[in-house]
Amino acid sequence: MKIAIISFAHMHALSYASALVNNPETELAGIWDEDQQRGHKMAEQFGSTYYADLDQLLQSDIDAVIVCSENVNHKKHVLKAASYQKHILCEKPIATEINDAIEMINACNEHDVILQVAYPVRFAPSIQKVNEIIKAGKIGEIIAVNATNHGQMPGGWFIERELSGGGSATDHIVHIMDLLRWMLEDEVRNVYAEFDTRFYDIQVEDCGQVLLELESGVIVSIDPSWSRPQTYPTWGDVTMEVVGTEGTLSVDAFKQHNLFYNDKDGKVQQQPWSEDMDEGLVNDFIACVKEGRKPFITGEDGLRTLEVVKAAYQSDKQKETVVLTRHQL
Amino acid sequence: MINLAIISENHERVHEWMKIEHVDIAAILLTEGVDSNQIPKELKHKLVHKPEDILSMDVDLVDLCVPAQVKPDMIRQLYKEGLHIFTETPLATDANLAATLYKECKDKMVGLYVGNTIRFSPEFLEARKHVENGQLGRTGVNRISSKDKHPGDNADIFLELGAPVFDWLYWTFGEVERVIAKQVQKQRKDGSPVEYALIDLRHEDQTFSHVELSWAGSEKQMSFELTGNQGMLENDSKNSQPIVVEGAADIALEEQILGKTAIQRELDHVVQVIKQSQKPIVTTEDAIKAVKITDAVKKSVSTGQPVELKEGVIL
Repeated sequence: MKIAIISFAHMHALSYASALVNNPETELAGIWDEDQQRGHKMAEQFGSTYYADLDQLLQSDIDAVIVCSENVNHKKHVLKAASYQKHILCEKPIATEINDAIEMINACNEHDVILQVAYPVRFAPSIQKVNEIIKAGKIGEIIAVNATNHGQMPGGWFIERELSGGGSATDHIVHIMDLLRWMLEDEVRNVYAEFDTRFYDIQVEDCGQVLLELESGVIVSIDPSWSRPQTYPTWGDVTMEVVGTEGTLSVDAFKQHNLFYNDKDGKVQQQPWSEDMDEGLVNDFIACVKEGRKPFITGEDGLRTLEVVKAAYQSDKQKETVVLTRHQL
Repeated sequence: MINLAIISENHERVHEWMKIEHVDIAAILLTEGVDSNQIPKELKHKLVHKPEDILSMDVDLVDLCVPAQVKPDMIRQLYKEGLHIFTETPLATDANLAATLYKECKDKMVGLYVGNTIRFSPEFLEARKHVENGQLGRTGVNRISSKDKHPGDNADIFLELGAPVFDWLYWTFGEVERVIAKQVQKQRKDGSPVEYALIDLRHEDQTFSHVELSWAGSEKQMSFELTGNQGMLENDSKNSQPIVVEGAADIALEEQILGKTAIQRELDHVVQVIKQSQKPIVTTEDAIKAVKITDAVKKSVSTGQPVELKEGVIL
């Protein structure tokens, strides 16, 4: 199977490329990148071909693409790939505007191509185990979730609003939201959120708190802050404390690591050793394309999580609880 | 020496006071249902049955260790000129009542002091010092959690678990401008209660404080994570135990392995406040404010909307 990568703007493209190269059934058949230098470098690194012209890449005999451009460019790249009937794995968030997400989902349906949104955390073995425990009712009825998706400030285009669509809230709420929707099979009823820029001198928010209620009455808090200091031993975290009537469960998706006290670089570093969740995501996408089945993580999953982010921004602006609007597809 | 009367809903309090210097335990009043057999033999003859018994004795200080709901009644039964009353935060179930009690005590020449054990816990004191010294830089997002097993009665999670935390946050990060809070109360299959609450406070300096209160687990645990633009400070009581024992079930380790625990430090301070007429660490204003924040949190739970405060007053 021939798969191409559209843009290496998002660093996840690197691990997706590795997954494609490592999978004996796939070939990283081409790379397009607006940044020619980066495109050439990546093509060389992964033994692929750089295309300066995206149409030319899409006219080739590739089966699918992985879109890792800046958030605002997801729309145009997904629409273009769909128009060439290529299946698509799109980096999260699906888009920066709800209408864009809907247009992308509709276009993929019309062209009969798969649109999968990249929420790799679903593929972490610890998260899959938690999903099993919750769904089996082992901790009883779920009543609350206290979650974090912290990070260090990523810099680059992530902090340029015109490319990212927003800061830490845009970057981090969606991961937790996707896990909650998937595990609890529930939707958000209302959201209250506040954001601010307190850690860095940047244009976008770098911290905040989100408090929401699901339709079932489960209460949830999400901390999406880029509050991890420079000296933190890793990039960030994904943690959830899930409170059930019969038990409470805490999961730290990146807990499986060796701790390296690195004198050479003057750092303490976490060295993860669990199975690579990005590889799990890419392999699942490949299986979807091969079997022609509905993706495990759909465009609608991308839209529903984006709706929560947008409601959170609205709430921050109004300093009021916002009742969620779910858009028809 | 200070002559002390203890009014308590648990016998542990008596054991704590026995470790404090310059104190004579003159009277012990246990609330209904507390087993008096747990009181050490040498103090059994100090047991009394009603607050009036205390008033007829030579007592300097009363330690009132009962739920907030019954504190006002108890305090009002102890109005005797020159008496000092000490109680853990919260002073009352709402801020107006707390302020009224202060006023009444002042009028009756009764000293009223409120404590908060967290303010005497070394890990929290160290953390506060870090914030005050500016070692975290500009503070950003705090996460703090307090868990315990459900007390099993009609106890109020915001008053019992929340107020001490709100007090420490207010003491360390300043006035609270806005709160939003959510709470869930359910029952286990066996009918026992489970309760959990999530609260976000926004301080006037715009620092965020996220508070988790849980009566869903089986043991006491507190943790905090304080972040600023120059660093982060974290602590978890579960990971701070210097001694871990496996097997050997007859070894009972205290909650805090310290020469002087937070409670002892707090009670020492109370004795000093009364003996030396020192200014108490928790001021009248602080004690009322802790209840005001709690009032705002409960209001937010019932309305589902944020509640604004101005200089500690709900708008």
